[in-house]
Amino acid sequence: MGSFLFILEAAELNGRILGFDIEFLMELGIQWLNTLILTLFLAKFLYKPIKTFMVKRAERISKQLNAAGDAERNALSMKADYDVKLRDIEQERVSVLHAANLQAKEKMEQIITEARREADKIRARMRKDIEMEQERAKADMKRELIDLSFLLAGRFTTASLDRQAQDTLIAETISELGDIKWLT
Amino acid sequence: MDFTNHRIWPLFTIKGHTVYITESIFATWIIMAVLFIFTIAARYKINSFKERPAAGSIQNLLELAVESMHNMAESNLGKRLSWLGGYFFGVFAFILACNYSSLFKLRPPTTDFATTLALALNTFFLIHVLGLVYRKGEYLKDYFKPIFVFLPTNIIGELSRPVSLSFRLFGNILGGFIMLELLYASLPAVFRIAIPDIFHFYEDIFIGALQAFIFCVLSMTFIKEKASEEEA
Amino acid sequence: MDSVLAMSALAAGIAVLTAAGAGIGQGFATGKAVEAIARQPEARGSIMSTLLIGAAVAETTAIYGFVIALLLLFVNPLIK
Repeated sequence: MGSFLFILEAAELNGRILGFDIEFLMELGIQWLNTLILTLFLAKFLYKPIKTFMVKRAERISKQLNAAGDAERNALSMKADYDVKLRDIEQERVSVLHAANLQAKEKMEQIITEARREADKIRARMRKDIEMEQERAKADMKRELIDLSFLLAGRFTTASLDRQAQDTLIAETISELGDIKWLT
Repeated sequence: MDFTNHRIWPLFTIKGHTVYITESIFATWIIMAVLFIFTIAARYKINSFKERPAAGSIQNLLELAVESMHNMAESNLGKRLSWLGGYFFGVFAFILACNYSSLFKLRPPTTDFATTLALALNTFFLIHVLGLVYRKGEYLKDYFKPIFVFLPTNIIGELSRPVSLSFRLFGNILGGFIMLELLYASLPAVFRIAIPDIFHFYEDIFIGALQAFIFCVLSMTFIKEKASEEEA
Repeated sequence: MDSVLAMSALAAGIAVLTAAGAGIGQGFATGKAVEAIARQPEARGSIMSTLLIGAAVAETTAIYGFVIALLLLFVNPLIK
């Protein structure tokens, strides 16, 4: 019991755990100021800036997301446009090809007919040329024959009537004639 | 075995009572200084905050704290009153720092009834001022529910709120503090190294965080009850 | 004087007995919360926070008893 009393007295001297008097009221005032200053300071200089930072970041991110969505939509519409264009181009290609084919065929036929005509023309001319040549050859031959007969006649008259000579002469002439004929 | 709130420095005397700077007021100032320095450091660091904080960084921790407090304020106070989140962030940080200060052999300021009563009185003023501002006549009508005979009961009920809030915090922390002091006094010096840590873990870290959380949540609930129009 | 102090010490002990009621209440609350979590594990978060608040409120009476005991031991208005 004595020690218990001692504790009580020591508590009175050194300090206390709980008490309701003017001293407590003053302590309450001091602590009220302390806590108020601290809490308001923390709210103003720690909570608020971080929160505004986070809100701004969230806004920025949502803006970026929106921008990305817009870009995607744009890209999709562009792709659709391109698809349509590509289909158009395919059709055009086919039609152009078809037209070119037709044109080429037409041209080819034209060329073929022209070539045929040309060939006919050339053939006709050639035939005419050949005929002319034949006629000329006939005329040459006639002239040669006349020349030959003249020559023969000349020889007959100039040479002796030697039978042997006559034979050799004739053979000579004939061989010359053959030569000539062969040459022609 | 002395767990009284020591008087350190006499200030002045009123009507035979000398007012002292006590141990808990001194501890409050130390905690305030630490939190001020931390806040200023964080305030300067906020300019270099990154878009995506690294795991375990200070920024991550601060963002977690701010976001959880914001969510807590929105769910317990409603959208309209969620601007009070900043105040409760400060209250939570202060109570948590107080409760953890006993790990550094300070006397937790929350073992001083003056501190907890000051916090509870702030809540009390917030309840009634916000009730008057936001609900005006409806707020006054609440005192006559269900019939006017219950007026004294309602008033006593309102007055008991700061008392219960402050005594809850004070009693929990002081109880833990006294138990630890008793433990330290009763253990031989050899065993004072590791064994009290288990009790420190429970009494200071677990109960400290829990009581800080509960103080904030109950304050918010009381404020919403009086100041929010959604429910009388 | 001594007898007043002795009775105060006894009264402090009795006042702390209020903790029994709070303990029983918190035990019930926790048991129900565990049942609720077992039934609906996805609602764990909200059940836990509700339990904590409820337990804190239930604890109030025990804290009142504890404060009364402290008053009787250290402030004792009866011996002044």
